[in-house]
Amino acid sequence: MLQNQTLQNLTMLVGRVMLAAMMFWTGYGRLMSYASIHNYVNDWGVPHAFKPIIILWEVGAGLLILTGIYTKPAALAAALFCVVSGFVVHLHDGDELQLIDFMKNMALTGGFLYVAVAGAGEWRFARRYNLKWS
Amino acid sequence: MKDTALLLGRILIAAIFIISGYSKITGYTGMAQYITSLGVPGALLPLIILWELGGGLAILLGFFTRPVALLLAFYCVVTAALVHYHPADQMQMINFMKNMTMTGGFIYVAVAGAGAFSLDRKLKLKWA
Repeated sequence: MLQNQTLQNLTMLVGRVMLAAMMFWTGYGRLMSYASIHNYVNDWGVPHAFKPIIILWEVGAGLLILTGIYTKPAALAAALFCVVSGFVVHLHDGDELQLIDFMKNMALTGGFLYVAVAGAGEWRFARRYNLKWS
Repeated sequence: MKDTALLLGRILIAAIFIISGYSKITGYTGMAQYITSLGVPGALLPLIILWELGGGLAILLGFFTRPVALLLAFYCVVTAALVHYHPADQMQMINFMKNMTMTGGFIYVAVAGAGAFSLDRKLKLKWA
């Protein structure tokens, strides 16, 4: 860990914002286009019934990481999401662009694993309640 | 447990850089034309390859992990802005967001370091 507490907390906050933004943003986008027949989820062969779970998974993990509430389990959930969506959505034999996306998902998984280990830092919501695993 | 998770995280986050750096060597000519079309001088390609491949390997091995993670975080921001920033193209914007997310991951690597399973720790390097 860094020597300077303020610098460390600031860096962790910036890292969290960047990591959470994608999860929240894509989940929110899916929520807004929920009824659309061109909804991504369908194109991937994922049953419609899974849509609420996917949206909750993305928006929920994004918000928890952003706010720093139960950061560690939320980061693990986000890591799992990146692995699953990497395999379901992006892994197609012979498609190099999709392979890059697949690799990116694996890189995101690595980032979320780091969050799961290091936690949110001190700059997080509900800190006075001393929530576990944050 | 924690150190194992950090090692796994490093492997995952380094792989894309090692692979894409390596594929830039094998596809050098095409890649030089591509980056020229983005407005990046082709002469910079060796530097880019060194940045990706060297940075990826350093993260994988846990060698000067924190400064290298910062360099790669910066790289993700630059490539996002140069390559992926097309607000009208949703697929590109998803990639833009993914680059930002990788940046966040590298920032965390820079803060938390490599953990026990790393050259930093074995060689007792500074900032390990």
